[in-house]
Amino acid sequence: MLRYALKRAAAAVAVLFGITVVVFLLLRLIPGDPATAVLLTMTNPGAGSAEITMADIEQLRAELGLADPLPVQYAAWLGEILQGNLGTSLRSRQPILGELVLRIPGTLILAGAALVVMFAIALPSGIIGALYAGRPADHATRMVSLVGESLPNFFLGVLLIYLFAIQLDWLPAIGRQGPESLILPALTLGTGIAATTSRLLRASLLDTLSQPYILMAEAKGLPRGRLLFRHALRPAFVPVLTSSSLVAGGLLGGAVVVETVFAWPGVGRYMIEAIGGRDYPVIQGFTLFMAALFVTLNFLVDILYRFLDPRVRVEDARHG
Amino acid sequence: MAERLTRNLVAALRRDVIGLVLLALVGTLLALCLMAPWITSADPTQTDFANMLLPPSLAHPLGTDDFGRDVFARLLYGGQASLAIAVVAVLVVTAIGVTVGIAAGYFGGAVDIVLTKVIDVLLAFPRLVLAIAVAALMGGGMVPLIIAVSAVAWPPYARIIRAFTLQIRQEGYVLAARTMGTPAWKVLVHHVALNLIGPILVLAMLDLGNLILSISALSFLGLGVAPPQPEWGAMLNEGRAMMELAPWLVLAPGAAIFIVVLAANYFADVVRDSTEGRPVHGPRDWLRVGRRRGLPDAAAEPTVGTGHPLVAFDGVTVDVTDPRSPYFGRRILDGVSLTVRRGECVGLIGESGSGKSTLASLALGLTRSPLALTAGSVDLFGANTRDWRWDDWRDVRGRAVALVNQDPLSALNPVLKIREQIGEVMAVHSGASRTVIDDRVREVLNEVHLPPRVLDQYPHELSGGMRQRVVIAMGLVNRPSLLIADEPTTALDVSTQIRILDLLRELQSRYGLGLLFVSHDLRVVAQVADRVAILKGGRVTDQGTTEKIFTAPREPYTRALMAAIPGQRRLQDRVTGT
Amino acid sequence: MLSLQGVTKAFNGQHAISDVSFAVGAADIVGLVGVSGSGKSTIARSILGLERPDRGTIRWEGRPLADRAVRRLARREIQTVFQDPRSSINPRWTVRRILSEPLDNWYPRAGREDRAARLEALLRQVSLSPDLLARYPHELSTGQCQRLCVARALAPEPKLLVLDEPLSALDVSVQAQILKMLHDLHRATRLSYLVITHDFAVVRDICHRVVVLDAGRVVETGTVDDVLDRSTNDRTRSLLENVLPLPFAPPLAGRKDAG
Repeated sequence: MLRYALKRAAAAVAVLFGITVVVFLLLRLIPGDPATAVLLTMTNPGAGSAEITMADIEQLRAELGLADPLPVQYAAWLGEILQGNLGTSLRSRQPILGELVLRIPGTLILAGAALVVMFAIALPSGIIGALYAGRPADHATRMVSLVGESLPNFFLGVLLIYLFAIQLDWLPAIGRQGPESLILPALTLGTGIAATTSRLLRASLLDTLSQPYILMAEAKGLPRGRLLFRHALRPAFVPVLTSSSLVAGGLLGGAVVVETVFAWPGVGRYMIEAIGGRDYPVIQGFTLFMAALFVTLNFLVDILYRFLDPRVRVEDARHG
Repeated sequence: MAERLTRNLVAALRRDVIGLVLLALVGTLLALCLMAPWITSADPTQTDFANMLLPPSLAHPLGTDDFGRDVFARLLYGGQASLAIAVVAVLVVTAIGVTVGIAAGYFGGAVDIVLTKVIDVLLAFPRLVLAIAVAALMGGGMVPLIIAVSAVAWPPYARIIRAFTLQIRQEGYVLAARTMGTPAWKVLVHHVALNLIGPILVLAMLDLGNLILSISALSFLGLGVAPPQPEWGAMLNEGRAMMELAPWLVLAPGAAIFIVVLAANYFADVVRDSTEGRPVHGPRDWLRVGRRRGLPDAAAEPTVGTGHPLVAFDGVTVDVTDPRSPYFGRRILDGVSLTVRRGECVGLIGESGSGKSTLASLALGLTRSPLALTAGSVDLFGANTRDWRWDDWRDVRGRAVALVNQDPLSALNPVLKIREQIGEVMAVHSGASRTVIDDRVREVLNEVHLPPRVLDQYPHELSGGMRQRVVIAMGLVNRPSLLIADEPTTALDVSTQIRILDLLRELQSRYGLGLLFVSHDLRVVAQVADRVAILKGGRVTDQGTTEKIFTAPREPYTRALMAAIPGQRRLQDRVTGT
Repeated sequence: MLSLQGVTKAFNGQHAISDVSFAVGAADIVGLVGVSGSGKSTIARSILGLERPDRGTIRWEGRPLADRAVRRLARREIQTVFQDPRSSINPRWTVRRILSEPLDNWYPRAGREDRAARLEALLRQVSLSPDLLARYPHELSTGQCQRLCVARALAPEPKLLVLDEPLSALDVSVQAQILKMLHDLHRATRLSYLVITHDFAVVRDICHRVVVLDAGRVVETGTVDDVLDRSTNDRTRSLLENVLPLPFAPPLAGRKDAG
């Protein structure tokens, strides 16, 4: 088990290394000269390029590390990253990592609440869908997940604000004032991913129920509850868990959108503000940060999955 | 596969009201967008501050926005932009994904390693986050939007196409073509690429909804088409501030995106269903709670010698009754009559498709949809089971009648320990204390010659023979009077077979166990059966004592079977030897 | 015709086969028998040129298979029938197209009438009706699929047929028919067979000579009667005893199987 964890950790580190390469290269996507582009937006918007001096550009190029050849730039940049330095925001002049760490609890609280919403919807609807497969209850739950999956979360968020904050005035529309202000963002973020999980659980549970060992469990005269919860549900969860990176990806990506809609103080909103101000180092740092978080989450799920399915545990012992 | 897919799709659509409605809605929307200049004369970018935020009216079917622009016109022209971006993105994503996937899968080696690593790294980003970063750094606009969305969407395609390619490369017919002297390029085109068209179309269909959502999310965040040009996601963002005064500014583009994505996802669902190869069938009737009143005593006290057979099939007929099944209307069993008495082993011989496993499952009420008993009766311990509900069956299953299944690995739950899997059979039927159960479990393990250490092991840690003995132990733990053994030794090697057959014979003589032994293997049946029934095409064609059936078969089919036992005849003209 | 001399092949440092030598002559039927994992399929793949042996030589008509020209010749003159007939034919093709594939490869200039006659002749050789040409594989029984595979293997007019577990995917009664068909085909064409199987019963039914394989090594070679009835080799004996005895003697059975 420890051996497996180490092996997975090594693989995760290798992927993280690949991620730094991609993130580093991202900055080359900026059309034209990045330094000029930055200076243009940071100075007076009405100013033309004539007012920017070459000295300004050179200084910024040096600051962004754009003067050296690519591999040298990358090595220097990676060195900084490894020391925990994601760079400095061009606008606020603050270290980016500090800004992200300050805002990540907001995002994690939102994601956690959304996860609760997701399970509250996906578990019952997935189970009902599988048990009543092909019958009205199944069609109903499938239609509901289909709608949940197809509603863009920014549209759903705006609709919820309109209904519960503007029309009914039950809940706060935006910002983070108290626990009740978490409800609408969590609902918005949770419903979208619930559909994916519900569908996966339904398919997987259906597949499990048609396995010979469930026929065997039925032949053993087991009562319904035991048949479902002890024999069918646990194996059915394995494929759901293996595709949990879909859920995690949906949560992290969706958080950016939902935080924007609800003006929720988190890393996503920080990123969108940075985009508006062409704060390139922040965009870069944020992308790296989120990818690292994503890889870590997937690593943890992978370890958890070993505990759920004893078959894989042994395979590791054999191949590891 | 493509023909079957189309056939199933058409058939599914014909019955599908929701699908038709969605199709009509999207079709109308598409037509309106494409013909925008002829539908509305309003200019989507013409500001008119005299007519700001007007509610829907005849002149402005969806009202006007805060610049006085006609929302209906903006919706239609915006649709052109949104849908064009989506179509281009799908094409780009499919092209990259398919090329990379086939290259990685077919060429293997270094090409595969490099491409797979690139895919792995790209998949290690949250999809939307990377797309936002790419679009933001490229500065927004239509082309950056397409690049951003495609850059994050192709890796899953490539990965799936690679897996398909690898799988097809392993297919027997590709191997056959290679040994037959077919050139490599011909194999790639004829056998590999053409077989991929179906999966590629399905994949593109499945991801379309996702793609449209990503595109509109990026536009919503201001990373799409530059204002004042209309686009659905961007319109929604612009209208957000005015929502209190003019909800139509948000509702119109939101509903448009929703309808298109809903339709895409709905048809993706239909496609997914029609490509699902194997119909899936769970336990029958187990959601109907309640039992038939007055279960006869015979079932409650099955071991008392009442003179009734343990199980009696009388004119049993089973048909495929589910019209959705491709075999609808086929008759699986046709008027089969057979009895098993106490202490007797009846061998049921049949080739695959003869209906022998169906007959075995009938004895425990385990026939699953699409099959159903349409005539005849099954009597257990003298009681007619026709009106039995799931709970009535549950009462005898595992207690009075036990099943030993064909495949020893798949018959055991992979995530539960052996101790629990054997013990629970006793726990749910007797309510005995933990220690009593544990003692009995150890005892029964001893009976099937398994060491106690297996109790704390999982099924996959045991060999095939051990697993099969666990299944038998599971069946015997409650000392049933009838054991249904469906090909119990097929997956095992000969020495294990002999040991298990010996064990069954021993239990039969010691406890008076009745045994229905189903097999296609005549050698195995000859070892254990007292009487033999031959099943062919759902009918019993011959029945008699084992010795008579084997030594003096009268029915032509029986004779053919006996003659076909391998190792009985010599066909060769010897060129060497005796 | 075909001979193997000290052929050795290892995967990941483990020997799949070591020092395997035997020969198949003209009009010969040789059984290659062993339990699963004994290296049968590695030998088959080596003969078909799908694997390259680490050591030893495989010769075809006296010339080493490692030679490119010999391999091209052998690719035509050695044909294979695989274990699972269903998976070894493309499910989306008609019988006509399946049978035409080898004809296209080896007789690209054949005229239309020639080809039609050839297709019918091939089907007749395996006792299939020409009506089946327009059918798809899923419309055929498994036995018919296996006949089709044999017909396809016969198309390039080979001298040796490698039969890889040709019966194990079939029902008992169908097995007997396919065995009979293979036997009749051999009598008519004097084609050589290399029959790869785990089942001594199949060897007894159809083979002249047998090569017994255990853990990647040849333990015994000889005529079927010598090896199956009078073997003194312990490994062979224990493999042979690995068959369920038949307590009753069916009427058509040979006497020695009873008891």
